[in-house]
Parts: sequence; C-alpha cells; structure tokens
Amino acid sequence: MKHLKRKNESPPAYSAEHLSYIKNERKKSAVITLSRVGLLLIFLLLWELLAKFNVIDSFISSSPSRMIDCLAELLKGGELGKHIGVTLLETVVSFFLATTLGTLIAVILWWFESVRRVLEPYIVVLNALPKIALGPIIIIWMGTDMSAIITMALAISLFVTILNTLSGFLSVEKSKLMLMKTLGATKWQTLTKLVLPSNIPNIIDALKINVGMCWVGTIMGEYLVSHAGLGYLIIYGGQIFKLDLVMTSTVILCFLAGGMYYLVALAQKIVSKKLNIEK
Amino acid sequence: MNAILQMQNVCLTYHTRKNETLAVKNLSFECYDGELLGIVGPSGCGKTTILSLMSGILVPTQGEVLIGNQKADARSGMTGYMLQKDELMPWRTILSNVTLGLEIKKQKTPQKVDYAIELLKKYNLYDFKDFYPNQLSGGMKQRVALIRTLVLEPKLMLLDEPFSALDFQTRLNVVEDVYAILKSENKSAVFVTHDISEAISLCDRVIILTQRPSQIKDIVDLSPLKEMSPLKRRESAQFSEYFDKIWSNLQTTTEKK
Repeated sequence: MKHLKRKNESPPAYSAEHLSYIKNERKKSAVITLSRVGLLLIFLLLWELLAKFNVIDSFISSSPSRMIDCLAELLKGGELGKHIGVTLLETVVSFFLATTLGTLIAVILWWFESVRRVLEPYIVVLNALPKIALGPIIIIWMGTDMSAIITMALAISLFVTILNTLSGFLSVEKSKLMLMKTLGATKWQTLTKLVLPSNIPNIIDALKINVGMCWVGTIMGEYLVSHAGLGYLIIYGGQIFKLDLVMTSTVILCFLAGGMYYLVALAQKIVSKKLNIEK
Repeated sequence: MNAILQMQNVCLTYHTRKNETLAVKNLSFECYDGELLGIVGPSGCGKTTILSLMSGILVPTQGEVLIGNQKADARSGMTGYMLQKDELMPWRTILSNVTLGLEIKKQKTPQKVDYAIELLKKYNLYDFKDFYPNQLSGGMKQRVALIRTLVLEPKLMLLDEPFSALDFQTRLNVVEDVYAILKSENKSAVFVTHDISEAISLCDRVIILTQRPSQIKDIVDLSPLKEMSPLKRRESAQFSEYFDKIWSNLQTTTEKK
C-alpha cells in the first residue's frame, strides 16, 4: 500500500511573494483595528463638542464628560457594585438555568417522539408569545423579588434554547444513525456517543444566543419589578429625568454584556479545539 | 461448502401512510464461507434493504435470514456492516473511532484494543492512530472504517457500495486494499454495488437482481478469476466478457420496466 504516504509537514520556507502577502494582510487588519477605535473616539469627541457648544441639549442627550462625573458619583456612593452584582447574578443564574433546562428538555423531546409530537405546538406558541405580556402574571405569582426577574429571563430564553437544540438533535446525519444501528447501539449510546457530541457546536451557538436573551430578560424584568440592578438604575434615571444616569448605566451594561459574550466565545474556542471541531 | 448466510424465501414489505411497497420478493440464495458474493442491480432495486435484512436491522415480512444457522440480529455481532461513506466521528481520534464498536458492544477489553492496534499496524495506519479523521485522505478513512468493522470479528462482512464516495483513482487503490484485507483476514462478504466493473474485480460470484420487487435475474460465477487481484482482473481478457454478460442482463431487467 505504498500510495498511502504520510502527509508531509514541509519546513516553512516562504517566498518573497508570500512574505509580502502576509505583510499586506497584517496591514489590512491593523487598519481595521485602528478604524474601530477611531470611530468610537470620533463619536465621543463629536458628542462632547456638540454638547459643549450647545448644539445639542446635554440635559436630554447627556455627554461623555457628564457620564464620567456620574460614574465617579456612583462609585463614591458605593452603590454601583451592588447594582452590577444584582444584575449579573440574575443574568448568570437565568443563563445557566435556561441552558441546562433547555438542553434537558430537548433531550427528553428527542427521546420520546410521541411526547415531542404532542408538545410541539405548545412550545411553538409559547416561543412566539411576546414574553413581556407575562409580566403581570409573573409578578403576581413570583412576587417582586429576584425570582420574578429570573423567571422573566427564563421565559424569554428557554423556548428558543429548546427549539434550537432539538432541531440540532433531529438533524443528525441519517447515515451516522445507520452506523449506530449497524453496531447495535442502544438509544442511550446513540445519545451519548453520537447525538450529544455532534451537537456540541450547536449547543454552544445556543449559549451565544442565550447570553443575549438572558440580558434582555433580566433588564426587562428589572423594568417591571426591582429594587436594585442596572435596569432599575436606567428606569429610575428615566423617571427623574437624569439622563446622565441612564446613559452611564447603559454603557456599563454594554461592557458587561459584551464581556459575557466574549467569555462564551472563548469557551467555544477552547471546546472546539479540544474536540477537533472546525468552525 | 458451508453457507455462512442463507436467505430463505425472504419477502419484505415497506409501509408508509400513503402506500405499501413490496421491496423484496421470495429471495433465496446463500453466501459460502470465505466467499465474496456480489449483488448488482438497477438503482432503487432495494440493495441496501437486502443488506439491512442480513444485518438484522430489518426483519423480513416472510421467510428467514440465517447467519451461521442463527436468525440475523443486529446485536449478535455476527455481521459487520460497512457503509457508503466512512462515517468516522470527527471528534474522535482514529484509534478511538476504530474502537467505537467495541465500546458500544461493551467489549473494550485490553486484548480487543490490542487487536485493533495490531490491525492498524498491519494496514499502515498505526502512525495516524492519534490523528483526527479530517487529517486523513478519503481512501485512508475508508480503510479505518473497514478496520472499525473488522475489530468486532464478524463472521460475515456486509459492504454497501463502500467505494462510491471515493474519486476514481483512490477507488481503484482502495478496492485493491479491501480485497487484500478481506482475503488475508479470510472473511466472507456480501458486496452490494451498481458498478459492474467493481463487482467483477472484487467478487467470486455475482447475483444480478431485477427491478423492485427484487428477485434473482441471474447468477454469474467468477471463479476462473479467483486467484487474481482486482487490478489484474481489470486487465484480464475475460473481464469484458463478464462485463457484457452482466450488463446485458441488467439491460433486460431495466427494459422490462
């Protein structure tokens, strides 16, 4: 069988042409990074200047310098940590609940075809329902503490998770299922050795969507009922017409949501590398 | 000669909401110990169905499928099925792909793993045991798939067009390899294909099937070619003779439609 030679890893001896190509590519990505930062800086500068020369009303639009003052005030008051903590806790708890419950329910629906067929229309309707409509019900049932907010976040993210994960489970290649059959695999073996591992990229994609969904749910929940949290700060700032507070809280929210998304993306990278999944 | 496989008056009917289809009708034949039995037929004649019956995944509506005098059963481990594509799990290394069947059958003992490693060594894949499937060529992957089946030490190999997903160049080589492997492991095999030349180059005997419902149209004995490897057979004088014989047989079955 001499036609089967090991793929050679040839030593890296690049041509001048290739080197200049690499240099060009690097230059391109540098330009893009600079443009990204530049865009933000120009935006902030413009905002600040327009506010300073009263082209826009900083009472309504706030301004970067006023936001910095507001942030300093919040930090001095010592309340900010608590608000961030509350919101983060609510988001993280609902994120983990939605992911585990959603995956678990998807597994159950995959396993029992008749249960799936019975429940499918209900899940579809619940998924389509605008969850904010459940607000009053949630408050009355769950009270006005954190559990109401987590329930709201869960309501928003759970059904999407179930539907996405289930459709991944059901789209496992028929020929791979055939292989499991020919090997005499049980249903449990098919689940653990084929369906779950082949769906890890899907599940991680669902995590990425869930991060966003849980933030929506948490902030929406805090709008409805809350005594603390960033959503509370935003609503409170709006009510007393303190736009500095609204804008500052929103920016903090941006950083937190972005950071959490980044963490999930990092987890995806690590898992994909470990499981040899090409993305 | 002993028959490892006996198909006795096998019928199979498929049911769907709209229809019922008679896929296989009164099919009777044997595959003998150490024989490479080919089955060719027009596309859609139910070749894969027949293999599924032999492996025990499907149960015949009538008649019996016996493997070594026992009823075919997917869990018995009597048959080893090789599919069109390699179906290696991309997240498993080559070695762990090869032992997948052992895991499923709860036979992953050190001895069996040693046997898997021995097979990988024998067929020049040992150096790649920690590689992932996407790092191997199509032909190598198909040989890994074959070893995954061989590790389970089946009495009868079932090959479902295992070369059809490969490009021509690779295919000729892999047919050569698979032939050598099956012969050296002294396996009996049923090989299903729509490619006449592949059937002639690999098999000891070829059964020609009709359109659905599948029945035997003719049986061609290739024993004069017995000692030749697939590539040698392709070069031999009788090759085109056999080809014409099978082809004209297939033609009449298709025209009958």
